[in-house]
Amino acid sequence: MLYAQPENLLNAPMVPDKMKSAPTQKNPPLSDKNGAITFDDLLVAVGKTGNRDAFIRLFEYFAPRVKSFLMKSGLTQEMADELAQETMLAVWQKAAQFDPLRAAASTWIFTIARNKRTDYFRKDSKTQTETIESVAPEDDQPLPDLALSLQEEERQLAEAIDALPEEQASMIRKAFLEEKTHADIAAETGLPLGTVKSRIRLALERLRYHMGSPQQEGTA
Amino acid sequence: MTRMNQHTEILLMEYAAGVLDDASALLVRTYISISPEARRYVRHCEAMGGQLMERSCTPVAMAGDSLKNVLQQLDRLEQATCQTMSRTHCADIRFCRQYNLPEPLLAYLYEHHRTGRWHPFARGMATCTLTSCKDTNGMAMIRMAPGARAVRHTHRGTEITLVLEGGYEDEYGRYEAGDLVIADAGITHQPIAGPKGCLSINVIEAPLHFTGHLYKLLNLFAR
Repeated sequence: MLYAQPENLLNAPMVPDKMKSAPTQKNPPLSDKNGAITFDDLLVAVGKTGNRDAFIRLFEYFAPRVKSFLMKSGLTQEMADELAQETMLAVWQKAAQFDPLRAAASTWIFTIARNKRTDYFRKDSKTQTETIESVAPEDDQPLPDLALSLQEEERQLAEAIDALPEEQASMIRKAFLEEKTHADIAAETGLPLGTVKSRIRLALERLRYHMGSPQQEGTA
Repeated sequence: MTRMNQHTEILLMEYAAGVLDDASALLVRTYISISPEARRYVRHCEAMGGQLMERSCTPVAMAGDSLKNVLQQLDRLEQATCQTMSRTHCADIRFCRQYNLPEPLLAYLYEHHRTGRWHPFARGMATCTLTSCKDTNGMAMIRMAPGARAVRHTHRGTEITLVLEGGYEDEYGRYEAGDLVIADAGITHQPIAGPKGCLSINVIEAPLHFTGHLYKLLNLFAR
């Protein structure tokens, strides 16, 4: 199915959804609750109807961030650009698996970028990395009232990350963004491995409050 | 089932950050497929990763033709017929069905055409190598008959064990199906299988070092 001529879309100015008047017939209107469209909504639109406008907007926001993320682990501009394109292609292909009740768009796109990076660096290219959705598709059905709090959880998590002492935050950034193991971080910073581990542990401890209460966990 | 401890949390965080070696990552994937608590923790760590990517990575402009290029590929994707993954390649389907193996492990066995051949290495014990990368950590499945006693041994590196069926106990505790055990380097222990026997997958960071005598043959197990 073809939705629109890419060239036309490229030339069309991108406008916020609220201002958008008539979406093309083949691109059904994006859901517009309370006038605010989130990246989650855009990703759902891509997954459900293959909405290209939504995809382009996701691309314009996330691709440059994914590229930046990939460059932090030492990829060249060109390679990072290529992998970011691959990441966004995978976003398109897997969008139907995205469930906004379980993860935010940024989380989901991060996992895909991370997996692309792993596949790029790994020698054994046959091994496939997966998102949690493909590991455990049917289970963990979230309760509706919990879903409301996901965005709130994300917001609190962001605040908690900002509030971390720099010595802890820098460890977390090195691990997540620069693809460094604890041993790598110890070697790079000259800190003892035990110190690196305890700082990361402290940071995780501070951030885990934003996971929701233990009662919300599935039964083990 | 034992609760997750700090070591487990750090392992899960490293998985979410994408810094684990292949064997450990496969073990963690298997673990999160059977443990809702671990899954939840990994999701939380991935949300951290998403936040960091969104907020700490200064956007770098994509090359001018990137979007056009991707959109052109979407056209091609839409025209291509859907290909479903076929699992007829598994060399030994019986092996895969013999145990109720979690999905990520099955997928790995299928993809890598592993035959799942068991090598007995001690009374009541057999191992089956799952990964064969020489320069990264290795992974093996270990089967113990009910009540089988392993040789007392120590570890030069970390050993991660995920119990899939049955259970075992050692000097440090008793572990059942679904438990993840991280044994630090230097720990000496003697696992003994429970009454139902034990099936586990193990990632071994460095060769095991047997403290008993005349157990050189057991390096088969440690390789």
